[in-house]
Amino acid sequence: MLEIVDIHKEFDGLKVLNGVSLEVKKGHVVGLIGPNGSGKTTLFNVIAGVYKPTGGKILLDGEPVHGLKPDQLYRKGLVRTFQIPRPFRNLTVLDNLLLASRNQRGEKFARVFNFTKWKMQERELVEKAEKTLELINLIHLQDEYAGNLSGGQLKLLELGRALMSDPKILLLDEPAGGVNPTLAMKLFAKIDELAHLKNLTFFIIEHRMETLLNYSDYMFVLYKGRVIVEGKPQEVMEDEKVIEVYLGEL
Amino acid sequence: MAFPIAYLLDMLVFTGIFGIMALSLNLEFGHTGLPNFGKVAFFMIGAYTSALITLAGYPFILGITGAMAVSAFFGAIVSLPAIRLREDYLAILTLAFGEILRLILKNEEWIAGGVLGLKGIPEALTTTSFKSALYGHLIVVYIFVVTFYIFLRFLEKSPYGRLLKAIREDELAAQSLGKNTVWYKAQALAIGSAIAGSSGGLYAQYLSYIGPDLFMPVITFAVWAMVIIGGVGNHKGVLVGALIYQIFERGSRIFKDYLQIPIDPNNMMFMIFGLLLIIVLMFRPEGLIKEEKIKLL
Ligand SMILES: Nc1ncnc2c1ncn2[C@@H]1O[C@H](COP(=O)(O)OP(=O)(O)OP(=O)(O)O)[C@@H](O)[C@H]1O
Ligand SMILES: [Mg+2]
Repeated sequence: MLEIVDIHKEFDGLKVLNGVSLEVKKGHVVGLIGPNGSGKTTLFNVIAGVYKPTGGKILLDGEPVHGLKPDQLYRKGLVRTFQIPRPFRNLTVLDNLLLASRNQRGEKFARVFNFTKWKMQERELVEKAEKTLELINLIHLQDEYAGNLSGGQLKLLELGRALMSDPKILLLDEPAGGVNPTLAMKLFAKIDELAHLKNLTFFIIEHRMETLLNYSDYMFVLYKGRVIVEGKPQEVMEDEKVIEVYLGEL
Repeated sequence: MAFPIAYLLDMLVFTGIFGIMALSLNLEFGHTGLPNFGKVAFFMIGAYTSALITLAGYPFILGITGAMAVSAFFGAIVSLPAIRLREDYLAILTLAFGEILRLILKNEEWIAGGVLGLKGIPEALTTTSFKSALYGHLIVVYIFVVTFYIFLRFLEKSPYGRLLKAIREDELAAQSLGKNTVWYKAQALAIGSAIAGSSGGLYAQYLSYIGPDLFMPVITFAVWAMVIIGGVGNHKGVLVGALIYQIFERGSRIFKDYLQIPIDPNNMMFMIFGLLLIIVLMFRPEGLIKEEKIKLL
């Protein structure tokens, strides 16, 4: 589904990614772990079109997509969330979700005054958004400005928007950071369910590796801009190099 | 007693003309987050275009249509290099564009009369008396104000308007949710400039004379002040802002005759208005009328 081949990224001489290669298979939940500053978010930004890679290739369903803009990648079915949430603060929680949906008739200037058409679609989308809000426990806040949400709630909003966008592959950057552990577990269970029932693909960054243990099919460990270990979660957890890297961080 | 009424009508006409400018900036900046500091350029393009068209004998409606089309074209073209990069470049680029264009019109006589400008611009409605002419102008101008107000309200209450606000709130997030933000920003500037262009056309036919010195950068700042004081993001608010500006401007012009002050009375208005701006920004940064929470359904 998603293939990363020898990706390099430098910022003014600072080498952040040094030849990352990995593959995310369709319908899998794949974890990306690694200590602070290892380049996880940078890799997501490169995949999602925020940064151009200094070198290497990215293939989505076999088609090269490096160099495409974030909106072009969205149209190809790749949607990401941000580690530091980027809500539309002066819009409501509901509008934040609605904005994520595809092919909205009323977003075309020429169709703004064709009310019946877009209002019909809007009603369907609101229903869908409300279901998503129930899932992420934000339904009671649907008419609140997103700017009034707490840090954990904003993380949930990020996830909600991503789910609203009918993606093929979702890149989630620490989706459970700051979310209470019970809800976090519920979300990962839901992600697991979506992946296996709807054949959605997830690529998830997690700082703490235990969280993903039960919910991922495969894991990559990034360290200093390179994949140092990959494999089934249980194997990765017990790998000496991984333990060393994580201990070294303490 | 005829004089105060005429004075009031004149003030309302100006409020309407600049209210349209404020509405257009509110679409660009208030809703889409685009800092257009070249508002006067599009006002000027509209004024000259419609003046040239009506002076050539074509009807007013064609003049205004032309003004809107030409302004929209420039609005999109001028901003294109900037909106692909960063918002602050747009401010500088549009500011420079307005001044350059004004100087070109001033120095190139063959375009539109150079320094002397254009005289005898036909009015939208031909009337017999001075007073009925004023009422005529009032009606014409407010037909435009109301039309644009309703148009912009519908826009705001649609997924299109919601998308523009999303760009204002966080462009990268909007892009990541599939929105071609550059294209939408160009559209917002084209629509905003078209509206500003019509305002220029109304101005030209009202004054019946235009020249380069009527389009100084201070007009841009006046429009910004109207939007900030009235309420960024609220169309009703910016119209109120336009009225307040007129009251202040005229108030200071009247009172300067009764005041003994050691400064140039013409600058006094700017000083008082600057003070008002600071007070609003300090104590009510959202402006007199705050942006509302919009429900689409
Ligand atoms: N735009 C940028 N310009 C310069 N340096 C950057 C930029 N973005 C990231 N970096 C640097 O790249 C390195 C990796 O950062 P990155 O955010 O990718 O790490 P991470 O693995 O996501 O860490 P965390 O677990 O803290 O989220 C850091 O040293 C960071 O300072
Ligand atoms: Mg990170």
